[in-house]
Amino acid sequence: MTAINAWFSRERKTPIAEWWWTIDRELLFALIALMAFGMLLSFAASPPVAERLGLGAWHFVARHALFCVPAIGVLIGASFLPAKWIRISALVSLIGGIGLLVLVLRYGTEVKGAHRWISLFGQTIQPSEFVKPAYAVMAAWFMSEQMKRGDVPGQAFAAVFFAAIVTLLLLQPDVGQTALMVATYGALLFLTGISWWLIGVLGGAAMGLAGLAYIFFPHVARRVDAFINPETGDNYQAERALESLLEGGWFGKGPGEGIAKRYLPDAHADFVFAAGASEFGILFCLMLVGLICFIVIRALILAQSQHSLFNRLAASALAIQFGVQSAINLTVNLNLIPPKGMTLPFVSYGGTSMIAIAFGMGLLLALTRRKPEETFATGLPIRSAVKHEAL
Amino acid sequence: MSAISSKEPTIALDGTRKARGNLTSARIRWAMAFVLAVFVVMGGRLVWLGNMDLDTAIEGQARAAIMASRPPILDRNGIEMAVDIQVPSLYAEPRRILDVDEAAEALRTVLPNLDPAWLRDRLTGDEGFVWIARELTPAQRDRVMHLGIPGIGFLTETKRFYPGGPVAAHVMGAVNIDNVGIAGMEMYLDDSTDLGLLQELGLARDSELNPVNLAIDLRVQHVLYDQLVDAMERYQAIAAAGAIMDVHTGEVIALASLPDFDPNNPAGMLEEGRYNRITAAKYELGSTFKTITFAATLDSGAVQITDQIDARFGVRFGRYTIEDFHGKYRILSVPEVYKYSSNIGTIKMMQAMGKENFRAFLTRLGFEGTPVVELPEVTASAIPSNFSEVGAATASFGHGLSVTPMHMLRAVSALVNGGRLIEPTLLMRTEAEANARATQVISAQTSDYIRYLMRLNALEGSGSRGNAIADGYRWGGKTGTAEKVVDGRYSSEKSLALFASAFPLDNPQYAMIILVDEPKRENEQTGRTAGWNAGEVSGRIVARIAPMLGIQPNTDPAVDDRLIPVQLRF
Repeated sequence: MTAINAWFSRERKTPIAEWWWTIDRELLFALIALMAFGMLLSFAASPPVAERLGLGAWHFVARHALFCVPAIGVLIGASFLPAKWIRISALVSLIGGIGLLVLVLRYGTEVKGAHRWISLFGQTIQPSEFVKPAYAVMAAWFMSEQMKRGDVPGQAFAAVFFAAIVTLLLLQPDVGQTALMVATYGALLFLTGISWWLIGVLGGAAMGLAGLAYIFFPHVARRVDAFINPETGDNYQAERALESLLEGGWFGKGPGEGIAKRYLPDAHADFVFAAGASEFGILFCLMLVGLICFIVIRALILAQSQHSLFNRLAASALAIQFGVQSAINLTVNLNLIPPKGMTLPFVSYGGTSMIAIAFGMGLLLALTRRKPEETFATGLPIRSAVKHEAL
Repeated sequence: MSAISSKEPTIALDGTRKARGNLTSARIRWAMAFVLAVFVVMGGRLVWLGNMDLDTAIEGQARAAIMASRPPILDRNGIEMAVDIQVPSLYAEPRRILDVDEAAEALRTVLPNLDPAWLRDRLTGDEGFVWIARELTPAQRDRVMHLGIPGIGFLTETKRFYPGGPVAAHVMGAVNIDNVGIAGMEMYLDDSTDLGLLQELGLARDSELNPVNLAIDLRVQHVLYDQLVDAMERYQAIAAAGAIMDVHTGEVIALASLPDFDPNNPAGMLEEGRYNRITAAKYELGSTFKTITFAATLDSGAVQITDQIDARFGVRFGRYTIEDFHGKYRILSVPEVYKYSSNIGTIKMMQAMGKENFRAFLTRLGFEGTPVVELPEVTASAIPSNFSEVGAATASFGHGLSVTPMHMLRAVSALVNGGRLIEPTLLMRTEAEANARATQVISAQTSDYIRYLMRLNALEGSGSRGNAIADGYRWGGKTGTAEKVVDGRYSSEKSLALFASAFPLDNPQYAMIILVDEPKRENEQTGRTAGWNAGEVSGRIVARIAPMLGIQPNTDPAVDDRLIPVQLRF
């Protein structure tokens, strides 16, 4: 015990103590709490799906728990990275991810008419999940460099990468991830200060893209039609999700008592929120939504307090990416927007998604650590920094 | 991209750095505001969903109402007449059925009487709830459960069960499949008590409801029912009905009407002619009504019990002459007029009283409107508001006016109990409660006369056949053989036989009315008039129920002699 205490002691400057006293512990624990929520919901939502697929009832629960272990490792590991290594790891992920995105088109396994998955070392992974946070960090770096030193064509780099990734995603096709990429890029442009006039133009362009998606992707069109006019078309998922949400009432029917979730496709993944609602109730859902909201807002506040422009932009971009992904998933679950394949970060079942999110959030934690150099800049003392100086 | 940032030299000046910081800081605030707005919308949506009322109605019926219980109904001695039993009912949730054909096939292995096409149609669709088969047995439920079909379930419904079957059908009434009273006392309980409200609120669901005791004595009810069934067969009648009332409390201890139905299977209730003939049908009661006329005239003082009435000639009204059925055509004493059922004598007595007074007496005796009783199945009597001379004459012997047998039973009770008119009831009531609401309609003296006359008619008149059967129970009453109107004329073939009686007449306890509709001769030697059928039925009933009701037989002629008014004793 004393040994463990010694690791975290402020008296000596171990890397763990340094990490522990500079990391934002509220955000860290909120993220771990979100994983715990995910575990809880997995118990409610995934057994019927597993049974339907002819697997053991606890197949997805066990695997979900198994993914949590490396996810926490990645989360904490990434949060240790200093700024330089953050950029390097992001760059590696970005280049590697884009490479895999190319390979996916050729060698990917086709699931429901889309090539999104690739087998690597016996594991199927979805490269787009890793590209997302990596792009957020790298684009933030490009843009911040251009803002600081006008001679770096950062905006151009960011735009080229963006165009390349979106093209690859649309070839899969994966409209959901494309939308997230657009949101990330748009958020960065917004944060770096494009004029409101331009925001209007780009917003219009985004609407135009959505319109094109409606025209060119039949499955998108079908879902939108079914949402606008529930009488026609197949709105099965959304209806079952709503039924499941209503079933539990404020306090839920209790563990194992939900019935509607049994008929909810993807109850363990995209619709885990609605499936859990029937058993744990609306109040529980409000708590979960509140927790996600806290994570996003907390991350944005921390980003705002960063003095380094890169840190500020990268942390904001990661936070917004996380927020947009959560918001799309939740609004679909709540039947506020047409169905859209999007997982709920840390809650939905999915190994790649969970580890990629853990990577992104780990980077966010690393970016928002309290930094001694900044305390010198502001003149406000931090105890560890003062101690460090005193030594 | 010109708007994005400065194209300043590579040396970042403190000023531009600060401006950059302010800009991004402001933009992050915008982002936070946007994030908050989106999450508030989601929270609002969740609260809205939480407050949404789920439509748990089952085909328009609240779930609680279906599972609601009703109070047990007991007779006056605590014997169960209606109870709730729990039965499983099979329902389906079509939107959750994965394979309609498979489900339908499997269900038909247990419930082969379901039509395959109907069942498939029933299981197809997007409804959340449809009934498949209601009120099954526990064994059937277990077998359906073993099929393991998804989207199929059971609800435990309460089903009303009447252990006696049709014995007290018209008293009990019935409930529909949703356990709502639709006739008889069941409907009365829903309408008059808070039961319907309780069921709607779902409070009547699990709670033990206080049993309701009826005035009915199930033993007596059984005898009455039995004898009416016997009468239907014996006289090949189209209908038979009867009711027995406690003359002191107004409690109806038995009430039956044939043809009837089984409350356990209330569909039969709607068949032609199954109505309650005691409260929901009105008849011209014929000579039975003479008891009323006698009470009216004797009580008014217009006629004395010692008077002599000239019945030598028929009474002429223009071209019509009213004659007697078994005419003596001589001067009759008042008791003889009653005993021989003389129409002429009765008209003379009524005329002595005056038709207006006679009409007023009918109102006083409660013949107006619908009979006062808990049953919802009632009909209003039809009595002309002003009698013509002929109308009053025919009314005096029970023609030209229609009342329900229940009206008559109430009046007879008042005539023998000392003159107190009491509202009939199917619920328990004490004598004190009854007296508190009773009105004195004739004098005790007149009541004594009527008891004498009724007993006299049993000893020497048209009730003698019944009296021979009910020997010793001091029973008596007045027959009535009312010819029915067929094609606008009174028919001599089709008649309604009635007997309004009371017993024991030395100390009246019970009044009874029996009617047999269109009786035929039992055999060649017997007659067709009321004494032969309604009279004998009454006698048989009294002989069976009097011992149950604690009435000792007494064949001492002195008992009957004491009934004779002093003026007539020799």
